[in-house]
Amino acid sequence: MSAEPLLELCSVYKSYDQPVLRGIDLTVRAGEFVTLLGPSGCGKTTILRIIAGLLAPDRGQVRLGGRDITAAPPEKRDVNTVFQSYALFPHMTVAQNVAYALKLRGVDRRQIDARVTRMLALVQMTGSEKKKPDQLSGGQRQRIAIARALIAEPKVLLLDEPLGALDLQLRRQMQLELKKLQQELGTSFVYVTHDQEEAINMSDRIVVLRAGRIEQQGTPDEIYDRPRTGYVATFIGSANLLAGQCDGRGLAAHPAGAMVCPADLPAGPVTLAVRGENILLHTQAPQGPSLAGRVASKRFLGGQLRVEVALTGGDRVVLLRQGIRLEAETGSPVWLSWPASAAVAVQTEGEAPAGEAGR
Amino acid sequence: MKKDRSWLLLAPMYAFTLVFVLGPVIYMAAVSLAHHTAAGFTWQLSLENFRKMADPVYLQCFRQSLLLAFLTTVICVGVGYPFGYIMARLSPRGKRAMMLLIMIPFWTSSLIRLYGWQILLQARGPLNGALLALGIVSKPVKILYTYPAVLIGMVYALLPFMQLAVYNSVEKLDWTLVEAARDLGAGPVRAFLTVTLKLTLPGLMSGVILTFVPSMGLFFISDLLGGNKIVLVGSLIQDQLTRGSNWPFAAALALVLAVITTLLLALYRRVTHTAELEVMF
Repeated sequence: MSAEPLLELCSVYKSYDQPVLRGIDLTVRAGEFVTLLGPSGCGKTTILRIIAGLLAPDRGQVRLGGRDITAAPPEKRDVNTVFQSYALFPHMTVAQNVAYALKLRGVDRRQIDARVTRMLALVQMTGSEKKKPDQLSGGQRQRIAIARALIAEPKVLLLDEPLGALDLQLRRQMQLELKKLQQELGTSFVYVTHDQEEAINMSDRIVVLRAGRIEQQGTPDEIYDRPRTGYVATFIGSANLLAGQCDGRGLAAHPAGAMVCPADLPAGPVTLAVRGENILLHTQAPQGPSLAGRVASKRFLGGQLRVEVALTGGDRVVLLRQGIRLEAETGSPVWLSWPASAAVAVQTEGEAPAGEAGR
Repeated sequence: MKKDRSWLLLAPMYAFTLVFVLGPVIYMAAVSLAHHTAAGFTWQLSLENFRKMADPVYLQCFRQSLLLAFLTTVICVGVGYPFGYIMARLSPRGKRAMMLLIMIPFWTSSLIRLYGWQILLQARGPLNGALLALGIVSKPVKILYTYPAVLIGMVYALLPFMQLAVYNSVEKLDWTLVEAARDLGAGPVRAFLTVTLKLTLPGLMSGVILTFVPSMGLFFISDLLGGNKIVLVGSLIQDQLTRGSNWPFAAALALVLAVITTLLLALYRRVTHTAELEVMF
């Protein structure tokens, strides 16, 4: 992965009836796997379409390899797209679909055939040349769509929720394969998803979007361990947000007791994000600071026990535990605590994210 | 597994088709082989009706019909495809308005509308008036009772079918496919030719059938707008049935017309590779 920026978006704005993108600045380096993560309506697909040239931004610039391509039509851009619906041409065979981009470029037939064969082998679809798209399963269509988009060796591959229509098991398998493919080819991928699991498993860098703005970007570890805002903390791995009053010495007051917080946090109101798997549950008040509450419910989900605790004062906290047994009954009093490293101070919904240029 | 009895539901339709569609065709074929008499016809096997068609007068008649049907279809494709395409890309409101404009003429008898064309095209009619006023011509041109007048009338009568067939087909097109083509390096024209046109060919095919087949048989348009100078097979058949009261010859003419039409459509399908027709409406 080189440090040179390959693809750059400079303060890109786009509105339909309402603003969809409000100043997107994004850089993708060569060979980088960047994921645009956010709920539906956050503008992630719009960004992809602007990069592909299928949509023109109202303002701002798109640069590829140092060249301004903002006004270039899609066919003149060195990027290709894997569409959410795959968009395979139904009147062409698999081989014709994959060969399409090369045929347009006037590559000679022998070379086309060789490259189609190689592409199909790469996505493990050898032998499907003569099939029509409607004879393929969803996962197979996915592979053909990827092969078709990669055959012309684009500088950047854009993927719009490519695994959205697949079942969970296939999705997990395809995550691994896609990542492997990307590493083998060294192509930059810009990947759009609303699935945090996909984002964390595949990306070199995650860009969290919210209502047309970039909320935070960083490596999966950074996003997970040091979310800057409550939005990021709850969107990635669903953290608990607890508001309190920090004393500036590593403790914060809460209606249900006291919370451990980072020692360097200044005195004043604070919101802490604490991940459910880092919270310890006690059946008796522990020595150090803790929050008191009662077990509200417990459910076994996805191999983990999910315990909901109603704190004194009304806040609710969800904690996750391995195994199925819990020492406390539903309704019985419990105390919660966590190590200092587990709590991160975040900005909350009302506050403007740091470093944001004027609206 | 239970036995599939769904054919029972379709049985009445098959019965209807056999009795009322295939029946008359067989009857017509039989009559075409019968012998014409002054009183009508007798069931006496003869090929005289088909032999009679080799007469240059009748051959000319077939040639003229084919040429007119061909020209009508070509013009309908040329005008109807862009129209249907653009109509399919309008807003829902625009689509409804266009649909209404296409449908309104159908609320009046086509005969009355053709009399309207007579008035429009006549020597002292509005069209000539406009041409004179604009200085395009110095004296009224004869349009009515000429070949172009018949062609205008045919295109006018059959164009809506082409427009709607194409509209239907383009409307259902998945535009992501066109975007994918552009994304993969096709310019607007290449994307249209390799994706849009290919995927709307079945609709175009329906349109061609809906214009070509009727235009082989329509006779009242050439009667009303072409005077008596242009005799089409349709007019000939009608003439043989009524004034000539020669049913066997009329049946033979109709049979040959049907065979020619079918063969031409088969050829068209072979050339354009449209295996299936688009089901309309």
